[in-house]
Amino acid sequence: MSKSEKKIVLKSLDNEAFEVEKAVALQSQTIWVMCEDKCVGNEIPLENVTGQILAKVIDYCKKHAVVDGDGDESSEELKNWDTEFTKNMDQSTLFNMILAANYLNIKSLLNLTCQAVADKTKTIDEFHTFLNIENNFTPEEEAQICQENLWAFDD
Amino acid sequence: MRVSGEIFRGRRDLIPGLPEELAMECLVRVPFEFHSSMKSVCRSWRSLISDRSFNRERRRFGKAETLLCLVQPLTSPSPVNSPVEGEISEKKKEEEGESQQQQQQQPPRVIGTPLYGLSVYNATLDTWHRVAIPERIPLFCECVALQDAGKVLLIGGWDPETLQPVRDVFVLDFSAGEGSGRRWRRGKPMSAARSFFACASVGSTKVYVAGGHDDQKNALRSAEVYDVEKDEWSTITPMAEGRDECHGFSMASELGFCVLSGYGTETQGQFRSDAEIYDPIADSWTTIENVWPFPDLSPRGRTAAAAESAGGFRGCSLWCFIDSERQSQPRWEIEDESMKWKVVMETIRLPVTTLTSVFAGSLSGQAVSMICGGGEESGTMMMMRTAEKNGRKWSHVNTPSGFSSLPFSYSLIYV
Repeated sequence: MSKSEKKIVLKSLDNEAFEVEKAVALQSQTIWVMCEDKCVGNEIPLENVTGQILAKVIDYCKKHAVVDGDGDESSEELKNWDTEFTKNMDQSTLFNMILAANYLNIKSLLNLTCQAVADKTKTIDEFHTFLNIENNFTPEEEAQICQENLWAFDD
Repeated sequence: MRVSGEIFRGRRDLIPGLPEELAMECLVRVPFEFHSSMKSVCRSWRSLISDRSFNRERRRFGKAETLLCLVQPLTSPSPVNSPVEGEISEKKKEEEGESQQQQQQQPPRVIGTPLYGLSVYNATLDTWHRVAIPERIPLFCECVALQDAGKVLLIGGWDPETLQPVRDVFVLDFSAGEGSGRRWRRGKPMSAARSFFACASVGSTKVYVAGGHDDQKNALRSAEVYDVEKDEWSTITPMAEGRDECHGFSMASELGFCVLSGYGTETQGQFRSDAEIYDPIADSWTTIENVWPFPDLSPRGRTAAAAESAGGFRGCSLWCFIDSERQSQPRWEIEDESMKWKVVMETIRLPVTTLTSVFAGSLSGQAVSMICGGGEESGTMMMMRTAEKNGRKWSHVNTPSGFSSLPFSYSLIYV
């Protein structure tokens, strides 16, 4: 394999170009399929992902491409890195990451970002605010809620 | 990544900004603990979480949590009683019960009579919880789960005040159900009060009970079956023998129900070696001899269904937990005379040598045991993990002190 074949250029929706190692990019099943297809050259246009999001996806893939070869010792570190990676993402970034992970078909990133959404929301208020969901219960339905015989975890 | 169509019908915008299947990818990952809150978020979430298909989706995504539900005393019994709790036979427990009952006549509640509670060990997240309902649950009630119905039932036992056997049934919704949170109700009571009986869920909606004893301490032959959907009990043909302190198992094959050991009214504490198997098609019992080889040991807390499936035979495959010093064959197989039913027993050595009290069971194909009454392992739950090279090995499960008492019954539900 020549040097040029080891690198690949990913082009975002907003025409930002990223040159990355092929091994990094091929964690995306979508890109892998595109590379298999001989019609595509070294530049791959990704029409559904913005440069801002693609940069983050590439960060993730770089980290995972390196560590995956290192064996078990790094798995704890990788986990911590993953946690930090999604920790401060706002809702819109996280959703865009989910959409990108789904489009690019990177299963572990999809898992990570969906889990992050689940982890950030625990209370009713958090569900409403973080996920921007409207409470559409009628007052009657709300009243009915209070009348039921419920059990709960008593921590 | 495709999600079955039924779950989405009429449910637009589970999460605004995400397509349905990706919203589902997120929502199936929210821990069970918060499902109650999720039902109060909006209408579409309520109908999603309330539907049994949500639990199936969680299992399909590998995100369902494993809950071990334990009926256990909330406060430690007085020190005089505690060291041998679990090892002692029913007779002795009855004596305790009597003395407690006499003391009961002077309110308030006597010290030493434990209140029982329903505890939940979340094996997926390694967390412990107590289930809070406004009523006291019966002492020594049986705990049984119906996975498909998403329900855990508490059946029979003793009234916490009078210490008399009760007919009570409590039905707790764990996954399915309309409404905001998780509901519970009193189910229709059994036709007969009983305690220390065999009990198991069979198929998706039925729970069988058999044996135990009544308020006169007579060992019972009677048996009945509960349909959780209809909230109805039906009496079935009684067993050939009265069996107090027997243990019940479900059999995947032919939806059978197996009742192991127990003892008669006149032979208290001498555990029978036979078992009876109920065939619901014929409404009849078949006896299998020489299944239980330990006349001094109750099979309760000492036996558990070994695997999820019974294997390629009609009958059941059980684990038998014994102390490390007891003599026993590693494995035995018994068939009834007509060779229709078979019971396979496999011995598992507990990590205890003395007369320590134990309660052992199975958790998703793994053996678990709770050890009480002395030694370093006291008050802790142990789980047996199967390592490829070293065979089986016991390891500790973090057990907070409030959950360290010996359980009476348990069941497993995936939520």
